[in-house]
Amino acid sequence: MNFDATNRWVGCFTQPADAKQMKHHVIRITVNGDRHTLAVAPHWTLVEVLREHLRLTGTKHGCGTGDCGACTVLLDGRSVNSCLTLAVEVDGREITTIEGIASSGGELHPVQDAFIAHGATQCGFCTPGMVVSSVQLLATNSRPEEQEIRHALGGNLCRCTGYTKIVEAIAAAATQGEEAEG
Amino acid sequence: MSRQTLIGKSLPRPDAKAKVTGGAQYTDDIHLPGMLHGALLRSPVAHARIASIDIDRARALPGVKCVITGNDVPAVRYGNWRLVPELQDETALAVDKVRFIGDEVAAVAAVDADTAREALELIDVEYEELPAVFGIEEALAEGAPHLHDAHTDNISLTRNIDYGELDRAFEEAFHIQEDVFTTHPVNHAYMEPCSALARAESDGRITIWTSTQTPYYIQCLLARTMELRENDVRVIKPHVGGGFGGKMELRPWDFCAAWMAREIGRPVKFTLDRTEELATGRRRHAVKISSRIAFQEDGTITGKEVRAWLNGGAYNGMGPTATFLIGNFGAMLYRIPAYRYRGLYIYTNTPPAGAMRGFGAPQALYAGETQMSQAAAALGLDPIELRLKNSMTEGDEIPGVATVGSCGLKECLEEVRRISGWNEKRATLGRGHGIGVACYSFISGGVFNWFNTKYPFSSAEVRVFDDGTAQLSTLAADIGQGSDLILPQILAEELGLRMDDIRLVTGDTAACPQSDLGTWGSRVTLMAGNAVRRAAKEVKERLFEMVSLKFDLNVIHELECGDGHIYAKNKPKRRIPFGEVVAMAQRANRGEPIKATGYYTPRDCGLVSPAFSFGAQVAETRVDLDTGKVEVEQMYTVHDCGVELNPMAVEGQLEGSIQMSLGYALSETLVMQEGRTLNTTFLDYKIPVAADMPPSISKTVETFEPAGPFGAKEAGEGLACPTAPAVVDAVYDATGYCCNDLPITPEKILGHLGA
Amino acid sequence: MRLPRFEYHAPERIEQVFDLMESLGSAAELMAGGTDLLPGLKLGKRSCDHIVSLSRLSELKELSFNEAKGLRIGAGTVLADVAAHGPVRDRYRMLASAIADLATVQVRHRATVAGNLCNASPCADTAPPLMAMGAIIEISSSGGRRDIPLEELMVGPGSIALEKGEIVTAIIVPTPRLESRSTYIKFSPRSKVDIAAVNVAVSTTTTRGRVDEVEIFLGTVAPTPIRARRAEVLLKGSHLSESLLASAAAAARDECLPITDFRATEEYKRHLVEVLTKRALMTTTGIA
Repeated sequence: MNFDATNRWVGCFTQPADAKQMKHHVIRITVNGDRHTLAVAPHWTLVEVLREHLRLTGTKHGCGTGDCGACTVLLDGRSVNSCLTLAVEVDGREITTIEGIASSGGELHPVQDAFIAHGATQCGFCTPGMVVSSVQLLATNSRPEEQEIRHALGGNLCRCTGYTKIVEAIAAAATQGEEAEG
Repeated sequence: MSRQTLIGKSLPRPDAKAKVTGGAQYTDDIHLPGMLHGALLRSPVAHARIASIDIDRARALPGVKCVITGNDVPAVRYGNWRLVPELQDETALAVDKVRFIGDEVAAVAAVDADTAREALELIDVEYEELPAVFGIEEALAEGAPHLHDAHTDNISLTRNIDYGELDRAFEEAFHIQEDVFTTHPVNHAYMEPCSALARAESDGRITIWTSTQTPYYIQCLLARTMELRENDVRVIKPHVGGGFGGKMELRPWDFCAAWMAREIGRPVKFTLDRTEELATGRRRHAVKISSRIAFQEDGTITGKEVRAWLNGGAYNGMGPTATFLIGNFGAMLYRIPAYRYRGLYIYTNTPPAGAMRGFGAPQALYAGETQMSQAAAALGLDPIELRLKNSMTEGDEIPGVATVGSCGLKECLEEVRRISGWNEKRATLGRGHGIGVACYSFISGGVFNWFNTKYPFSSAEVRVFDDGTAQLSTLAADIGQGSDLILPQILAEELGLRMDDIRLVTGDTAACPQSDLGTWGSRVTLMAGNAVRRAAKEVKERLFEMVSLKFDLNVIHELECGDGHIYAKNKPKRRIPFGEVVAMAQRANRGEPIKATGYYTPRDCGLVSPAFSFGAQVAETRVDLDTGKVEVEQMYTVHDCGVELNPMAVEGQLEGSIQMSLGYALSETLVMQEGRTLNTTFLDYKIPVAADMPPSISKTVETFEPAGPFGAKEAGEGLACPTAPAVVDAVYDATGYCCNDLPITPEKILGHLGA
Repeated sequence: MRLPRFEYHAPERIEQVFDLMESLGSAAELMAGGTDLLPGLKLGKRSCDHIVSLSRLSELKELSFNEAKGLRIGAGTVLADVAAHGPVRDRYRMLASAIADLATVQVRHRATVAGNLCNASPCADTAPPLMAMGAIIEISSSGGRRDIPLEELMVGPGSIALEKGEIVTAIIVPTPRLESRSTYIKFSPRSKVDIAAVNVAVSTTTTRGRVDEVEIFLGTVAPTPIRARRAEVLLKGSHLSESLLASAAAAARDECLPITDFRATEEYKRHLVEVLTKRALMTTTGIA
């Protein structure tokens, strides 16, 4: 196989040579701006490839059925459950994980700053998904009403915060974004 | 100079940045070279003798490195109740018998998670099914099959309390309020599924990273099951994605990871699926509570009797503690001159119950508080008035076990009545619209040493450095509640430093002083907080000696820490930077580092807890009389958690408590059928989402708790208790229907309305 | 939770899909968004040796509207795009609102209307509204194309009326009559984000207090979403009154066939059908 010089080959997966071994597919994806070429089994989900192969463990695996939202990432700028996305399906596409939300210089996104200041993290396990969903919301609706925020978080479960400070943080980030523009 | 204080400041969490950027590492995020993946084979039947297990096919699958069953490992029985070894009834993998659907039978370690899972399908187990019992009545019936050979019936433990002249109270009562309540099993639904990763070191010692609330318990119990010395096990607690009581025991995957790592010489990691968590994980006890309260005509309580039957599931684990706690929580809110309690802990062929936020209190307070509101109706009194008449105050006794220290219950009731507009609303809102009230009291950590530790309950080591920084080492476990914020905040306050001057070393049994019992029972702020203060005081004494010499002050208490300096109280200009004092002290003492360890173990404070917190909550609900759907429109809470060290952290506890408790009242239940949990995804096990949450107004009544650090006491669990009974009472106010069998469902309401 | 192993095919031309589906038969599952299929596979509720993905077929991503032909939703168009489509928001409000209540933002970014329908869940959110709007399903195979009414697509839970080698390629929704009014009610007593315990779509056209046209479709209360025909018969041609709506709602209650599950009992679902049908009719007819 041939890979161009800028692509990192992330391979060498230990696979037992059992009869059910399925064919691997080679995919090229961009994750947080970095291009990767990967050989993936058809049944691997994006969250598994991000966590286990790219070692981007900020994306969390909370339920596997698309109900908790801890695995939320942006796929070509749209939030999706990476546990319900086959890795092989994202060939050629661009993925942003929680590790890619801050600027490459390390400057936090306003949503991240607001989560810190408003005490919107407790155990933190839902936080990456919450932040990605919040970034998605503000990208489509720069000044959401409280009920719009709550509705937009329907795919992100939190068991610690009761969502109050998360909703406050998103509202604050929206206001801040607006002030920055104005 | 008025010194800047950090107490009462809503400081953000030091770990928040790591959490919002994805950098915070949880157990499953850790990858070690050569690491293998584990999976557990679980029993598909509720009660059976294991006739045979054949692991040959699984072993032969390429990529499988290790398969173990209960026959391959020492059959050590373990459990958190080390004080009473008879209560330790669990083995890591089933020996001879399985007792619930999900009981761990075998474990596999393989090169990847797919292979591990596929190997499970190749393990052949032959079960000889036995008759099973699932409910309390079945388990107690004459001739019922029993689960454990060590018992002749299914009663694992009983707890009795007899206090005062109860019979006379009932004979002379003006009104006796008598009710039977049942509660349902619910799951913690912490967002991070359980995970453990173990490595055998070259010297045979074990290092385990595990998602736990109680590193110390894991260390002790893992050592015992592995037949090692305690110090040969090092437990590291990475970030933990919530626990709520569900991660405070040694679990089979901890043991299997460690055992197999030692067997094969490669690290082994187990991470549970959500379906495993919901189908087989620990849960809040389903309890039947029969309760009667004797009242005088004016509403004064003269006696109370509570009987509780707890469905404990197949093994004890930590669960039997709830038998004690329901007894205590049954009589912690009001003055009760005569009290009788009978608690029974019962084995059934269902997944074991365990600690879950409040641990006995949600059930006891649901029953007790619903009864108070119902009694008020029967007596023709206002529910808040009835509570005020009987409420505990400072110095009152919790029957036979403790004396209440600080107590703001009356103030909480009065304030919540005011802010909720109670007097204008109760019984006047109109059909379908109601308002209800409930209270809580809770402990700040437990006194009873059921783990039988020989160490202090909490320990903290403080070291200070000549660069003006300090290091705090403690095994107190942050699982999301925020002790990694509050304990440094306490230390920074004591030493007059900034938060970022404090380096925290925590979550590692090999690096932290022995010991800390971990995060449960809302014990950490009080106990570990006191340990931190004691260590800090000792360090300060050493430093103050230096400063008093320098300024020729002869009384140490004339000095204070603040603003990164140590200074004379009356002459704040006479001050020396903190780091310089440390350097002086070290120079004066052959360079020996300045450090001290503080300990806290409760003493002389009864049998329950060093401190008690209180609160009152009001819920306003609207019930759709056609569909029976309950909409909680507004919550009001006023609570007494002593001095709030960090109001933002306290609010976070309250807001999270409301979410969990609304789920408990309305939407969450593990649906059981013949021992099988039917709803094993978050699609079917319904925890409230952001849009389900009502607006909430809260206030605190500040008391000063002498037993707590800077006057603080519990704020994390008691708040999880009043919501269900407050909603029950509000639905009663709206419809006349009083729910005696949680959860409240539309069908129960419609059944009452006769629709 | 991990997926079982399977082979993956992502044809770039639709003919290849037909060939694959024909040759693989029941060993293959067709995948659009995968948001139902993948959890089903993980939970062991479904199984397959092959997944044939529609993701590379750009021709299925069509979404267009014209007054004469109505709305055409390609089988690969995701829900979020349908709900955001101007004509859908203006003219097919009932569909837009059903999608807004369907699952979560993340799922709506992946899931498709065709997938929602072809999974043939009795509680499929888009089914009752689309049925009430008279949607047509375009079915294609190597042998050509055929159209069937959506009502005929689902034959039972998880089962659809497709022959081997056939796939759904589009949903065509006729342009709604300007004078018709419609509403969709999804009801879950547990949470704002939940599978429906009962869902009801109603569309009515009235003139001078008389019902000219009426469509009532009920979800979650039978093996497939069903039409409340007896209720419709009662209403059609009759003069509007609250008691008429009540009798129609009672008829709907009697003609549904719900089962008990963890969201609600059979009896409660029947009761909900009556309450919600009446509410929906009151909304569309303006009778209070």
